[in-house]
Amino acid sequence: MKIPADNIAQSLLKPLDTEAASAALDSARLSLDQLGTPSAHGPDHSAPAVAATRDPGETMLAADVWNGTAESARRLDLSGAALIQPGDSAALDKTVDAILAALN
Amino acid sequence: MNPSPAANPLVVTAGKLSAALIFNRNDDFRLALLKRVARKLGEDHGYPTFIKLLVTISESSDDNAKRAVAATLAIGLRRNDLPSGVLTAWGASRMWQAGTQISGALAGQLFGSSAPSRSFGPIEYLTAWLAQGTQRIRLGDEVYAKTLRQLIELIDFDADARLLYPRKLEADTQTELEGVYMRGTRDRLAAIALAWKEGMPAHDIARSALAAGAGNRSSIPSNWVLRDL
Repeated sequence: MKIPADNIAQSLLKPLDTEAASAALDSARLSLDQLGTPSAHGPDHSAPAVAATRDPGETMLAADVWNGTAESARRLDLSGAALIQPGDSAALDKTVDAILAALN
Repeated sequence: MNPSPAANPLVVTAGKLSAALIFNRNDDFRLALLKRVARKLGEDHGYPTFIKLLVTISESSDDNAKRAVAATLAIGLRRNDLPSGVLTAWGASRMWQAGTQISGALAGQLFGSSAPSRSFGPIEYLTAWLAQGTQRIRLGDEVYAKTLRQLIELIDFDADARLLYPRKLEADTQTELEGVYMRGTRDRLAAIALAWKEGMPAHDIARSALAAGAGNRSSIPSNWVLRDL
């Protein structure tokens, strides 16, 4: 098949602008770096865009839910549990809902 | 004045969960209950909450509660059916390694909910969260070590769980299932298994796990940037 070239007024191939190409490559590499490609040294928490925010799960794990209470005084409220017949799926569901009610 | 810990929702929930496990002695029920709680919290974003419930019980002074939870985990270990949480498989995480906010958003756009994922028990989840790129922002060393120590202290309350968990970790590190563990995770889990089997205190086991990862880092020239493969 012959490709008509009559309408092509200028060359499709332009000379490479090395400075522009280099800048574009640097820019692209910077973007990839900002996506958080980890270094061999693990996460860098001082890097601005990489790990400026803690995972909410980590924040929760780090929280002191006992508010500094002495270990011997950290009592759980174990009252109110009901005996469930094994295999009673509905009762299991209700128990789970009751357990998680405070978090909801 | 700080609010009473008894009013903290996590402490309240940990108490109710413990009570249900203490008063219901049936193995099937106990394991089903613990797994259902983990699942209902959300195996993806909710699993750290599940781990926090476990460590809240571990930090409490209620040995009965600790024994009941550890015994339930032992049931799960015997059946190879621990309550599990989901992290993206490391091979699928390369596009958004290190779990930054940017990367998490990118992952959602690129893959939606179809990104390959793997299920992990509590210690495995925590270690993979620390050591490999997942959908979460990477866990810090300090919180990892503290949480790992508390989990081990809890599990040590049941003789079976204390025996079986390190064996499971050891077996995990010897399998080559694709996309489950990266080398750093595997090294840490192996260090935990070894130290635990040797009867080291939980605090020292956690330090061993961190040191296992640090060993990898120190052997690499400081100006190299590597992919975590």
